[in-house]
Parts: sequence; C-alpha cells; structure tokens
Amino acid sequence: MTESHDAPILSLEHVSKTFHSGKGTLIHAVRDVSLVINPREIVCLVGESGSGKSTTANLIMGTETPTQGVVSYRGQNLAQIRTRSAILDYRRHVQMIFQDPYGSLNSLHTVGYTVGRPMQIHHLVPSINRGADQILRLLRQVGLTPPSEYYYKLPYQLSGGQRQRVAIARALAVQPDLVVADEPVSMLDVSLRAGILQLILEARESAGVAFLYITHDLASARYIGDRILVMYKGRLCEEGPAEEVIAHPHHPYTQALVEAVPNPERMGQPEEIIVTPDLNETKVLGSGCPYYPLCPVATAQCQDTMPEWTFVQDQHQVRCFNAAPLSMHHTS
Amino acid sequence: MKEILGVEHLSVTYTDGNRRIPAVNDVSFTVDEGEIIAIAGESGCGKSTLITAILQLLSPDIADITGSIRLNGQDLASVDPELLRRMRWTDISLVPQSAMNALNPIMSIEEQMKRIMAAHGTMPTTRDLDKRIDETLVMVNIQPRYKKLYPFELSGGMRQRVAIALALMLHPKLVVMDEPTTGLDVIVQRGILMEIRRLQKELGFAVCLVSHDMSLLIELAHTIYVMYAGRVIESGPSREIYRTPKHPYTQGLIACFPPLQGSRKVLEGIPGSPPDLGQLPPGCAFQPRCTQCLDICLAEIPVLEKVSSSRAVACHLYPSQLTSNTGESTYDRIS
Repeated sequence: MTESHDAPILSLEHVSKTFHSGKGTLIHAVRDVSLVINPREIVCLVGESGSGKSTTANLIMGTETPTQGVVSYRGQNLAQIRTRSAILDYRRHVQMIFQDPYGSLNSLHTVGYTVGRPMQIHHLVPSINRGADQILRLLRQVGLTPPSEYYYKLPYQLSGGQRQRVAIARALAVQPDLVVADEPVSMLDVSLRAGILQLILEARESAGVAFLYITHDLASARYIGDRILVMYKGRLCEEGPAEEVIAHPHHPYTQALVEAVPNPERMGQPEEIIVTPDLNETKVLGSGCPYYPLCPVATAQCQDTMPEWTFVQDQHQVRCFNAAPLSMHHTS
Repeated sequence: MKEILGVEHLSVTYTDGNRRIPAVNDVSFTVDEGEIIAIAGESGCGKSTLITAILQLLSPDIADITGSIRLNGQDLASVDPELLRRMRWTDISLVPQSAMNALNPIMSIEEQMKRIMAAHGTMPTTRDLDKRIDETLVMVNIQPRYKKLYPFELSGGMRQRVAIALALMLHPKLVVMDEPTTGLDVIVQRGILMEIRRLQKELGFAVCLVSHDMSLLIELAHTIYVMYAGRVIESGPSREIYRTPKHPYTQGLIACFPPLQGSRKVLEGIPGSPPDLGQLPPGCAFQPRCTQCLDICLAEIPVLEKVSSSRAVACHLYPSQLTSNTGESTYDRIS
C-alpha cells in the first residue's frame, strides 16, 4: 500500500442522519457528528441503545447515506465513490464484525469458504482452494488451532466464541485498513470475551488494522481503546484518550455512565447519588443539549442552545456548558 | 435467621433417548429470610435448570430430579399440585430470563396484574385492587397512569420493572431472578439494581439471583455460589470471593472483567470453552481449561469441601484436612 500513513483513514465531518417515521415526525438518529480514525488506532464509540452508534456504523459502511455532512475515506467523499471497482475497493479496506456470531455467518458454508470467499472476491487469491494456505494461516492467527480441524467445519459445530473468531478472520482476510466492530463481545460468555478483545489488539499490532469499536461497556472500551467517543441521542458529547475520559469524565452523561458500571469495590459502601433517568419521561428534543432533561447541572441555556466543543485537557474535549471534572472516588 | 429455601443434594438429569445429560449435580444451598444469594456461571453451567427445578417447573418426563427442595420447611416434591399453584407468586415468584419479553403482548399491564390477583390473591374489591396495582407500580418507579399501556409501548427497562412488579405483587418471601438485567444498558441496569436493593430492604424478601456478571453479583449479593458444568465449585460471602477467589475458574471469572480503575493489565480470560454437559471430561470438569491442573484432577471429581467456616471450594488444589497429610505430596503439578 502506498497511501500516506499519517492522514486519517476515515473521517466524518458534521454528519447527520435523519429518518422519517410513519407519522411525519423526524428522527434525528445522528446529529452533527465529526470524528476521525487514524491508522492503527482503536477508537471506541460508547453509548446506550438508541444513541445512534449503530447508525454511525451504517453510515461508515455505506449502507446508509448521510442526510448532511461528508463521510470520507482517505480524503475521498464516500458519496462520490460510484464505480463498481471503487466500491469494491472501499469494501475491501473497510470491513465489519457484527454483534451476533449466530446470525452473521452463513450456516451452509464451511469455515474455510467463509474466510476464503472474500479473498477470492477481492482477487487476493485465484480460488478458495488455492488460497487454503492463507486461510489456514488466518485461522491460526485468530486462535482456531489446529486450523485444519476447523477448515471444513460448519457454524453449527462451533461455539459462540469460535464463531466470532471466524467472523474476525473473515474481516481480516482482505487485509482491511479499518474494521468496524459493533458490540463484538456482548453476546459471548464472559470467560471468552477477554480472548476476543485480545485478538483485536493483536490484529492491530500485527496487521496494523484500525478499529472502530462500538459498545456500551465502558470497561472494555477502556481496556481496548486509544480514544473514547461518548454518544448520547445522536450527538457526541465527550471525546478524549480512553483512560483520561474514564478517570476524569467531564460531561454529566459520561459521569452517569461511569458511575453505573457495576463495581465490586463499591460493595458495602453507602449508596452513592447517581443520576438514574426517569424512564417514564422522554421529552421532545429541541435545539438544545439532548441530555438536558436528565442533567443534574442543566441551566436555562442548555434547553435552547447546543454547547460547542471545549477542551478540558490536551485532546480531551466536551460539549457541555457546565462541565466539571468528576474523579473516581475509589482510586486504589 | 429463618431459612426460607433449603436445597439439598439436588441433581437434575435430562434424559434424551439413551443420552443422559446431568445438568445439575448434587447442589445444596440455603436462603435465609431477607438474604440475597447469587448463582454465578456461564451459559450451560446448569444455573437455569437449577432454578426451574426449584420452582417445580420441570416435567418428570424429560428430567430425573433427586434430592430435596424445602420452601418454608415444606418439601416441594410432596406438595400437591393445587397447593403448589397457590404457593407460586405468593410464597415464591420468578422474574424470568429476558423478562422484558416475558410479558403477554396482547394484554395491558393492568390486566396482567389483575390476572395474578384473580388466580392467587383473595380477590379484593375493585377499589382495593386498583390501589394495590398502583402501589406496586409506584414501588418499581413506574407511574400508575402507564398501567393501561401494552408491553410494546414501554421501553425495555420499563418492561423489566413491570416484570419485577408482577413478581412482587403478592409480597412473596422469595423472589428468583434469572439474569434480571442482561441486555439492558448500564444506566438502566444500575437503576434496576438499585430498585431491587431498595425494595429488598423495604419489604425484606429474600432474593435468589442468577447471572454470569460477577462484578454485578459481588456488588449486590451477600453470598455467591459459583457453578460450573452443573456443580457448585465454590461458595462463600461475596466480599471474600472477590478478594480471595480460590477455585481457578472463579479466579478466571473475576479476572475476565477489565477494571475501570488502575493499570490496564493484559486480560487472560479463560482458555477453551465450557464443556458439553453430555460429554464431560474425566475428573474435574474444569480440568481441560485449568492452568493449575494436577494429576489427580484428570482422575477424580473434586468434592465441595469447607475451607473455612463460611467458604467451600471443590478443587484438588485445596485438599481437605483429612487427605492433605497424605495427598499433597503425592501429586505434582503438571504445568
């Protein structure tokens, strides 16, 4: 590859996506989101369900087109990639891993075919059979050893963790620059999750792949990520180095997220005051901050005006008028 | 404290033609009044089978059940079906797995609550009934005016609260919760956990909580029973289990959760995957995944033995006092 290694692989500039509901109302799934993913970087997009993280993934994968803004791959606007060969090239360089390994593999195809087929489509091997060596190497790389034993297996013969490994091998088979991983471990048994996260870290080390890791689990985001982006109701509200964002969250929503994570260290201690949303009330969002209805530090201006990004630290920025640091109470 | 539930030497074996699948193997535990106990384990460890057996929901046609289950001192196996029916919801209730999808989709919340009262409570007057429904909903932090809604009109977290409300309606002494927060967001999960803890303090019922999420269980439960391949492999107060896990599997489970604080150390996970209950390995079921495996582990199934007044572990690494004099030196570590 001859591309510059300094320029971002992917960037979103003021991207919005609006869906129309049946009743004529608009659903702002993603609003004014800007982000960049640099080579070899693991960026975590954190948010609750309905925050727009999966829509963001779809916009990147090209399965949705933005209502406003530009998604660009290595400086090229995705909307202008039209020719079949250019689309194919984009698909090769940006791959995806899905949440549910039981639904994302074709149950009629063997592991070897599943991993080899993308290589064949993208002309990396002349045929699946002749690419067998590469397929076996990939299977070994994702921890399916001995690989020859897995080559002819069908998905039903594999456990969830093994299936997810196949899905990762399939994504890595075409030597992508970027892999979008949408909750890749949330459906797996806890004892297997660490192995999959490790695999993602290894793929970054050995093949230099960048990842967009989408999750609602802050702990795994901190474990795996270089940077964390926090999303709420379609808007990014905080961004910064992973450790920094979790140790010193500034946005009230990030603070609520951090406090909500089950924490064994907290057992026996008096219940802390944390913000739990009143689930009964979902207010119509105006032009202000989407977290306004639940925010403990909201002021009048939050209702009407969306705050701009402000830096609280080098590379750590937040969109909140009243941002204040919250340190973890129980640092060991 | 008074014992609410006593399970002794409970074994459940599913029979499928000639295949016999031991899903629960010699499990014993007790739940005292007002206690929160947790059953921890991954999929396929038998935790759901265990609670369906306790609730007497398994058909004898598919499963052999041995051992005894006492609720309030009464052996559930000998209770006649009508009395058992009455005990459900009033003495023991269940918040089922994926409770958010367990509600009847074509019945309003109010109607579902009324049905429980009609089947189990002494049917009070309409006025009292409405009051009880409103009170129960307020208890789980749902505004009573939402009672006319149907499940699809509620969010996942709200449906979960409704399922908990149903379980609490008749003030049972024991509530069994199977993965009560799986599939919910952390913030919603936190809200529901706080709700459970608050209600439990107010009403004083006992809780039997089943989950794979160790960090959550340690925070919420008093006592934890860790299950692997149908057996309890470690038990004790949650605080002690967290500080000093003894069984290698428990150590692995706790180490699986990346911490939110401190240094980012490499997560080991647990190699391999949980065994097929129909084809258990010889000796200890955890032996193929264990990093501290001994010779004896391949040959003998370790029994759950007390290692202190409050803790028990089933692992050859912790030989009981009786065998330790002769046993320890005989077996060398493989790895």
